[in-house]
Amino acid sequence: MISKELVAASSEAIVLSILERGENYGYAIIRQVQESSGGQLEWTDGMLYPVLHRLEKRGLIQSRWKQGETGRKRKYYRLLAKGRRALEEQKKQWGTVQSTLNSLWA
Amino acid sequence: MFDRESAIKSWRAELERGGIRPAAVDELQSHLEDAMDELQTQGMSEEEAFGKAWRGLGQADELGQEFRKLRSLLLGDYLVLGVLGLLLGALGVLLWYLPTQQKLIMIDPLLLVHVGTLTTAYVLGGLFALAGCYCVLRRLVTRRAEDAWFERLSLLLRWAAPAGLVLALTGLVTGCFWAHQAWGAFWMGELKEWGAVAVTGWYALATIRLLRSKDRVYPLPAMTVAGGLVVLFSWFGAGGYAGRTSFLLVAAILVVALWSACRLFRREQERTLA
Repeated sequence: MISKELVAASSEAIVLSILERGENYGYAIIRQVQESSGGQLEWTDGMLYPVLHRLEKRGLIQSRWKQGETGRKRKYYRLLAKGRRALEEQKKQWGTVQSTLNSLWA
Repeated sequence: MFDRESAIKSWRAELERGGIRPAAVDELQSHLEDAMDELQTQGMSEEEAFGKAWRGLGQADELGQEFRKLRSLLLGDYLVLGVLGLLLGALGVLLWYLPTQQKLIMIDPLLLVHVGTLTTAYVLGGLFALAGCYCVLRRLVTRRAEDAWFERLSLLLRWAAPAGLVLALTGLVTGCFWAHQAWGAFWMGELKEWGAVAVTGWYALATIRLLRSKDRVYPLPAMTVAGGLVVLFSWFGAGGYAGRTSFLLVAAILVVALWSACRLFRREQERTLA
């Protein structure tokens, strides 16, 4: 299982990466995280929302309420241009961390 | 017997007591119900699914703590609050100071509020029209599909459209009362008055549009440019320079409002039929 600190540090990059694939809502984002990590990354579901709201406040993503096929209203988030740039920056930083660790562990 | 509605109601109350705003609780509720549906399809009872989904979302106090961290204001918020504070301060000083001046003793506080609020609404509309023009030109020159300026404009307009509506409406209402005092009638049917109605109408349309479709970033510059035209023609139309443009603007805004209402009605009908 991944430590809480690492989960917290990577949360923004993960959320932005999921939204890069297209508009999505909280519950589906959580499911996608679980699926992509094979259940290794465990988030308390509710903790995703402060992350989403913080990203929206910083102008990286934008939300709207939309009614789903079942009639239930869900808040969908989409990536903005500023968010796309922030994600590119995050990718570079995480890439540097990854290659540094790879070279140290080789 | 498990009562889903009252269980969710008490869960919501606990979250709100934990300091989470109702808008955020709405979003958490949508998540809770999605999780419950999934758990129930796996064979859990409604009560068990509710308990598990609740635990999955986390405790109210922990969540409340995280949400409270978000409340720290950003620089943009401070700027908006600062400008609003300055405007209110200036208005307060005017109301307090001007009536004591011999030369200006005739100025009615009602007239001051009317002129102050309506002028601010006009200026706000004009500034946004300029920003909108800049965005459109930028889009034409850069040909970029996504532009941070559009997004910034949309975020600013979320503040400005309702603020403009309140200002314009205040200006309109105080103007009517002042006219009643000064001329003996609430409404004289002047071009100036119809111009104010046009500006108020445009702000109302912009506010409704933004509330209904927060995601629509790209039509915004066009909307602000249209707002600028309303302001411009209301201003010059009031002076008689551009003839009876104010009447035309009010008529145009009413047509747009009617058209939007018809579309909304048709969409609701289609949804009901579906």
